[in-house]
Amino acid sequence: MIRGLLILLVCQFLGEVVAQVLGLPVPGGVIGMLILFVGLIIRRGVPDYLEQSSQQILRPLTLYFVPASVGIMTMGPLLAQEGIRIGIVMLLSTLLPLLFCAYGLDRWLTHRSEAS
Amino acid sequence: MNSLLDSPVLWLIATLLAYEAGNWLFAKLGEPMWAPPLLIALGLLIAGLLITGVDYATYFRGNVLLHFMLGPATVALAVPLYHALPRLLAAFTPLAATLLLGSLLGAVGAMGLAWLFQLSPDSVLAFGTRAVTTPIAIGIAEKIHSPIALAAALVGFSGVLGAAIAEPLLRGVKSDVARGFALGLAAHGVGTARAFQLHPTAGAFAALGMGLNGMLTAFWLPPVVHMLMR
Repeated sequence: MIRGLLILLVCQFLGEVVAQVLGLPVPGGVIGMLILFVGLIIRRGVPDYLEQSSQQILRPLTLYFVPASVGIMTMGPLLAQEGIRIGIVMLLSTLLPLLFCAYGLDRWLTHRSEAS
Repeated sequence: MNSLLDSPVLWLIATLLAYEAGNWLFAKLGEPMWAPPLLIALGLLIAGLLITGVDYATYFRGNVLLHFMLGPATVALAVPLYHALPRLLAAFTPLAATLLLGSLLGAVGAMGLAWLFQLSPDSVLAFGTRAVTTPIAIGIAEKIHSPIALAAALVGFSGVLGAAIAEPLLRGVKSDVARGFALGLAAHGVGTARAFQLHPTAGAFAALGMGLNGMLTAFWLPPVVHMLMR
């Protein structure tokens, strides 16, 4: 557990270093994710201890969202004013990529399999 | 008395209790889609804070440990993504093109719609991460200074929404790859769970779409927002 966590934290820190050096406003965790991803490709496999640690850390993932999400309690005035419009935009902006990506990719894939 | 209510450890306990209670109630109620465990936990916590009169800053101070875990958890997403890599390579060009479209539509489309509906600048920014999985969305929200709680709430609710409407809307889609990948791109975690119910292949590609979209959007959205705000 600790060895795997150590790898994850080091990748996150390296991500923060890269973000700082390049002046990129990208979350350090995401650059760390890319670093680990590339590392796994180079290494051609996931060591057992890292597999276990990452599963253990990802299992209660929704728990980590709670502290930030509780902040919605401070947004009452905004929601009172825009809540309904926010709901409409949420519905439309979910439909948009879902429909375009699903039907577009489906066309492409079936066309490809017919061609071959 | 007041000083005890302000104790950080009390509010860490409260979060863990609410999380457990959320999971327990969710199972008891027969896993209703309209009340995911996270929503139940949030309801309990906010009720508790309002009753005790403790403010959000005090609550958050007790929970920095959990919030911090978002960082290493984001890095850990590289492991399932690595396992999904062969699937990406099997149909690289169509998947990569769809990923680009999904990332652009997911962020620019959502912000454009929010702007059309004359939402406040804060809300428009929060819509930028609507299609990104929550841990990464929170990371991006911190970089573009959008209201983090609203960004997280939009991700959560839209995931539930996307998963709920997916089946009838995607009936005309023949390939499980396309159904799954689009669900992951547009409805992240909850959409991926829904895709796994439709078909294991759809689920695997949903997980791939979710991970790739989160990573890609995190690299282009904050720099673009920073450039436009300057």
